[in-house]
Amino acid sequence: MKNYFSKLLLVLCIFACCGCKKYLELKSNSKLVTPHNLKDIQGILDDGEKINLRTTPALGESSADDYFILPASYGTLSLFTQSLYRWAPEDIRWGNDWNLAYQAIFNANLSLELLQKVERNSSNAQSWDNVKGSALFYRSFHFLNLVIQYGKVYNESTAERDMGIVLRTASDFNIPSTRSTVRETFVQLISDLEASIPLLPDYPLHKMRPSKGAVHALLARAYLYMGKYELARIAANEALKFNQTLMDYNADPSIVPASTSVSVRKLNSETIFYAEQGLSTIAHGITRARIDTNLMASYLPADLRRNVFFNFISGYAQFKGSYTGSSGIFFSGLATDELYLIRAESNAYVGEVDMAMNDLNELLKKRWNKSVPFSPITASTKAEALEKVRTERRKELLMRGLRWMDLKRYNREGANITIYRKINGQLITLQPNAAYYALPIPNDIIEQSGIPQN
Amino acid sequence: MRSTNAGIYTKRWNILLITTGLLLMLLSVLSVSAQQGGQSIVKGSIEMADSTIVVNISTKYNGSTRPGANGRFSIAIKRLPDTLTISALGYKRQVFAILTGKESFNISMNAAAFELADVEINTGYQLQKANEINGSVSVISSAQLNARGGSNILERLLGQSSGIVNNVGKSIGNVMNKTGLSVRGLGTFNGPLDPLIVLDGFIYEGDINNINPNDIEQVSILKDASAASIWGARAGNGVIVLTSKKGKFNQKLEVNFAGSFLVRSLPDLYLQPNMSSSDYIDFEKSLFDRGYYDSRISSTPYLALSPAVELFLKRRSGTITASQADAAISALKQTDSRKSYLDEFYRNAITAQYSFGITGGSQNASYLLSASFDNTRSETYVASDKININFSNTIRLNDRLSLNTKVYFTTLNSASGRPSYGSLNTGGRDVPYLSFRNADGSPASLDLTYRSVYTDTAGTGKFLDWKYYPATDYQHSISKTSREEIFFSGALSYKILSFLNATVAYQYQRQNDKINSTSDEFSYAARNAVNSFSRLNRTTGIVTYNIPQGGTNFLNQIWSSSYTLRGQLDLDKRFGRHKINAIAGLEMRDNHAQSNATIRYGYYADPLSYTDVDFVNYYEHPITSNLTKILSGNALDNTQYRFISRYANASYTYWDKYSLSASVRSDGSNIFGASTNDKWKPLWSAGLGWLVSGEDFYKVDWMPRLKLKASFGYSGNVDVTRTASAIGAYSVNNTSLLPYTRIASINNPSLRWEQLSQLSIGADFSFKNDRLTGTVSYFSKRGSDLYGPALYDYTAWGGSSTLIRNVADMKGSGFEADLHSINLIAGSFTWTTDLFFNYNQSKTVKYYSPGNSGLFTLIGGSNTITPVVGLPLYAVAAYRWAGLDNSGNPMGYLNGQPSIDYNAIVREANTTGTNLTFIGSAVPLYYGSFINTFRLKQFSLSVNFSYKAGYYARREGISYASLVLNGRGNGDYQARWQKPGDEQSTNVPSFTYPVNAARDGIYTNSEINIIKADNIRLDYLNLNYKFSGKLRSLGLKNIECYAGLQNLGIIWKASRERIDPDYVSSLTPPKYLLFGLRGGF
Repeated sequence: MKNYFSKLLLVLCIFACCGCKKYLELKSNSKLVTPHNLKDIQGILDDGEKINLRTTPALGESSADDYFILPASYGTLSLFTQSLYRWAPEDIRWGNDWNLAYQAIFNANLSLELLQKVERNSSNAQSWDNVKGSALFYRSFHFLNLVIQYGKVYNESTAERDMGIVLRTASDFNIPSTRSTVRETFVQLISDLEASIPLLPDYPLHKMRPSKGAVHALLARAYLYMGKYELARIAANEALKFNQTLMDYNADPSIVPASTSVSVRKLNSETIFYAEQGLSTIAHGITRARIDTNLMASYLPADLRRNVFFNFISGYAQFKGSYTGSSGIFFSGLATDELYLIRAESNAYVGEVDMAMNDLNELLKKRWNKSVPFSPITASTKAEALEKVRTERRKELLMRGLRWMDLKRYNREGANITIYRKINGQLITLQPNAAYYALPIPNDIIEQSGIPQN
Repeated sequence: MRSTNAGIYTKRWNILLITTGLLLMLLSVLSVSAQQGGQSIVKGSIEMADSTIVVNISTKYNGSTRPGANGRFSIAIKRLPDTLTISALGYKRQVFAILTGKESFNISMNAAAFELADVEINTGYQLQKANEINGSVSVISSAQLNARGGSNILERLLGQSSGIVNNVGKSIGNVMNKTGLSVRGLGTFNGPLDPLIVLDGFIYEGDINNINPNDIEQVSILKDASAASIWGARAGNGVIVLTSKKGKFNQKLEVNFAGSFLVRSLPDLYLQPNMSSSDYIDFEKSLFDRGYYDSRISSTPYLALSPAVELFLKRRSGTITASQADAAISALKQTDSRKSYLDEFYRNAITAQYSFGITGGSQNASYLLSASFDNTRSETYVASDKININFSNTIRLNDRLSLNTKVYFTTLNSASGRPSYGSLNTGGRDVPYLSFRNADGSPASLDLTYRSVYTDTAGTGKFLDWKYYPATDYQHSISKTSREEIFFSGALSYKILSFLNATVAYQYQRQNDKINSTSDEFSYAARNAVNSFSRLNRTTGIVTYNIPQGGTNFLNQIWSSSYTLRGQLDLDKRFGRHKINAIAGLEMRDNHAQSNATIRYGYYADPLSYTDVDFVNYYEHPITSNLTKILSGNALDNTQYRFISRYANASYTYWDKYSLSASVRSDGSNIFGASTNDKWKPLWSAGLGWLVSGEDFYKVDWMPRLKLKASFGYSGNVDVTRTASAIGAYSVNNTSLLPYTRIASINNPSLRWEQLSQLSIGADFSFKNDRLTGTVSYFSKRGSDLYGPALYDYTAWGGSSTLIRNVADMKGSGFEADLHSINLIAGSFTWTTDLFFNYNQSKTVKYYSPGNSGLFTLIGGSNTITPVVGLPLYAVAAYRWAGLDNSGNPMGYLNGQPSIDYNAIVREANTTGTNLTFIGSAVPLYYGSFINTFRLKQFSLSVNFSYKAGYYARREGISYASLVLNGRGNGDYQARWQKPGDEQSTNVPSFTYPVNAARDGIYTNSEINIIKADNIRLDYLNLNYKFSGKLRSLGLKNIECYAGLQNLGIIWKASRERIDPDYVSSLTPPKYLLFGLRGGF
């Protein structure tokens, strides 16, 4: 017996010396990983809730002029939301556009860093490239959204000096934030996007992932914002090569006209890349936002968008036509209708009036009630064409987070658009090219990082 | 696949149980016949009043024994002369000399007020005499555990010892403090706060409710750092060691039984001041008239409205006449939800507990087999049954080898009851005038989510009934939980040398839970699910069902198991004046949990069937037209944690006066992401004891016993997110259906361990004749490098506004006293008192988090730990109150002047904080209990008062924003400012529209709403009667019957508010009546 015990103790001692490490190597939670292989890294980029879904900036749309709030609804808003609506925001802190976008950017940066440790070989080349291309795309997509909201409008002559955003390209949080210039921001995102084209597939596995078409579409949007119409036209053209479908609002299966809350299904055939605006608490939420009455008056009776896009409540229009399949969530991804309009606008700008009108009519035909004869829009001059395209752009791309960038670039070109808010009988205005067009960066970011405020 | 696994588990487990049982039976039979002879044996009998108390009979040279059921004992004597010592908790120790080895003793034990010296304290790893321990330990006997009723062992500890407190209201939703208990206050902000629970020497990972209090013999609470050094990092908050009852050697077969009933009063729903139905409806009317509901009705016309608003709407559209509307409204005004709930859903809760046990033992074997049955019907008709079977066995196989085994088996079944107060609302609004029956007594419907006008017409009569009937729905939606748990432990010890013992111990615990929630075809849940995914073709009238008709069934199965394997050496050596007592061991633990949840639609229990549905595609909701997917509750989980620990603990005693102890422990684990270097953490403690009264110079007659003791030690705590690389969790995105890797927290390699240290100094003393005995101790705790959220530049990640960093230091200190006195002995009458007193305070010493450290963070939230330098961890601050102005607006201070610029007031509070006032601690600084026991012959009456003092609570004031937006009423409404001059007599602001949440906040968080929470409660009043010898002729003995009134509530409080300061926003636990009988034959 004594012997037996000594042996047992000996076994225990041996186990104590050698066995511990192995015993403790068992994985404690089957769902957890230390991401290291392509599947894990692709997974970081497929975290839709952090990258695509309710993540893109919304303050720009809330600050724009496509909607207004009735006095009774204004009273029920929180003081904070009221202040956003008045263009005089109270203390903006955590829980904002900034953190949503930079969380997506973190995922992209972390993926790129982890990818460096995975060897690219003939058997994994396709998925390796997709990870790299996707990370570059996602990062650029969010950089562009951020610079549109927080940077001064792109101006060739001052872009070298104008403050842009924080260009974070590494996941280490010990690296201090600094503000780049507007030009640096665009150089970074355009070169990243160009680098991603050969890496990405023609068509994605799912529309929440990028594709060649999506990169060209994003480039088209970026160039349009920069005022580089020739480049925008080329990019839009390239993008439309992959998908030029336009939904016929008369019959498309993704259109649900009778519904009171949803009219257009999610992931429909026009969608190239799927993304949604963040924060639902922002001022342009559908329960209180009513669409500008002048804008509403511009929809003709046979324009199907009147029913597809809007509900009418006590005579005012409420927007419900987002490409998200949900009334409370606003689309902010890329779709073919935007590309038609970019191409039309670029053509108009460079003087190709007919080509511009072609694209415009191509789109409007699909929005027209087929039982009423459609009379195409025409323009004789470049200015007229540009004016008509831009009007239609506003009517089609409502509440997609694009109006803020449009106001900024139109004013850069001298459109001189002053926007108004009427609050408790008082008229508040936002002057063209006002400093406020570069929206304020959250105060806690300024406090913690020391970067300059706009 | 998963269900087959479950089957295998159950089968394996049954086989294990049966095999173990048979083996143990066999061993006990064998060992009974293997008795030994050849020595001299001393015999005797012991007589004492309470035979449930464990008596320890020990000799100097041949170990110890316990008396049999009849009080008789015999003990072998190896060497002469020897000393026989008889001791028992609560009785005076007696010592006899054994000279011939043939003596026989008839000993009568006399009650002592309190004698700890000879109590064996179980630290889980070893049994130690109280006088050999330099740490702080409280021991609670089974008699003390019996003072209170109920089936939760932890609740029974309260008020029976110092150093332990129930953090009322602080633990709700805090995963770090699931037990709600804390031992000696706090040592950390964000780390674990729960004491570690140990059952018979092993960490207990199961649900504490599984353990039947009747099976517990003794509870030790290890309070100081020596506890942590024995039990490792998880013991930083103290250890509660549960020791279950066991058989005794040399004991005839004895049968014990006990039965008790506990009847609880109905909860007092009327204690919380509430807005009257009449006021509420008038208020709704005013909102309606202002057009508040119009935008909601126009944009989401289908969402449920309150019954009164529906009536206003009908009146406005002219579908009812003014007199019809008035009649209906006045009927609603007469309705009180509280009465409706009480009538329909409440009853007196009853708990019945029965237990039955057999114990016995020969010279070399002892056994205990007991079975208990608990049956509870809660006040909302939740029914639960619990069965415990306990089988323990100790066998001395030979001189050197002994085996100790225990099997503890629990089954627990419960079924959901009726809706509890406040759980039902309409359209998300808490309406105080709900009634669940129509005038004719038939079940009334309640618009839970959608308005009746929509649910009635959505399917043009082709859909299932879409209404919710609270009065009957609970009969159709029932959630059943069934649990089976087995806890097995076995320890084989071998005496290598006379002073050296080796033990190999193994413990295995498995718990299988099955939660089966079935909503049958008639339930609202099932009908709502079917209708929500039905599609009506309006031309053909054909309904397409995407969810088939029938019920829904949600099944969640959880299997958890843990094992511990331990090898330990015990050394117990005395040479001359020196005594060394040491243990060293190695332990490995594995804790494995798996779960599998599934949801089935179109479910019928009889005949059993279900239908598969499409969880992928979106369908249009017939009422809201939102596109939604069918809810899938399917989930799989698998976690397996492993730990390896090495520990050693030694104490050295010189001359039985001075002792020194030290211990060391290190733990390793496979917690995810922890890098190898971080897996080991040594902890240590040291203790010193001095029996002053043992010194020759000690000549204090009135205090014959005095011992001083001190201990100091370190423990630590590590955050699992302390990882060098990012950790991702796998899941699947709902939209893309692609798997994703969620980075839930940013990797932060620079985190260090939290360091917790505790110094404890104490004294044990007894006065002459043990008239007053007790322990006093002082402790001081220090936590440094504590984790806390610190603001950072979230441009780096964006996933959180704060990062967990080592940001803070805290300090806590306290004083404890346990005093036991015999106040009066007059013939057969005795009066004894037990007083437990605690003083405990904590404060933040250092906190590094710029912009987040002022008084402002203490506003409102007194229920969470909020670090502010120099202030208690749980603390309250409030706005200084400047009264109401002559329009009924609440005034705070701005730049020292009364102001109604609420945004500016908030800004000042958040920056300089000069318009705030620090009120005090939100947890009691002083607390304890005071128990008086009167015994007259066989009667005893015990009265326990518990007291808490030195803290504050915030009463809930009215928030008009919350009333308008969520429909939450408040009793303040009646006292609100209504006309100029009212500001003289009330502090409740006027109602303004539109609402201003900042204005509400200044009032609800102002100093006038902070109340002093000090109170004294009458905890229990117990009457006990022990039958005398008469019943022995019937073969019965120790028959005892008792009755008690418990939780009698507050008898004094410092504040004049009606509400219970410990339960400002929840229901006070109801009073109950307990009565029962126990005895044996």
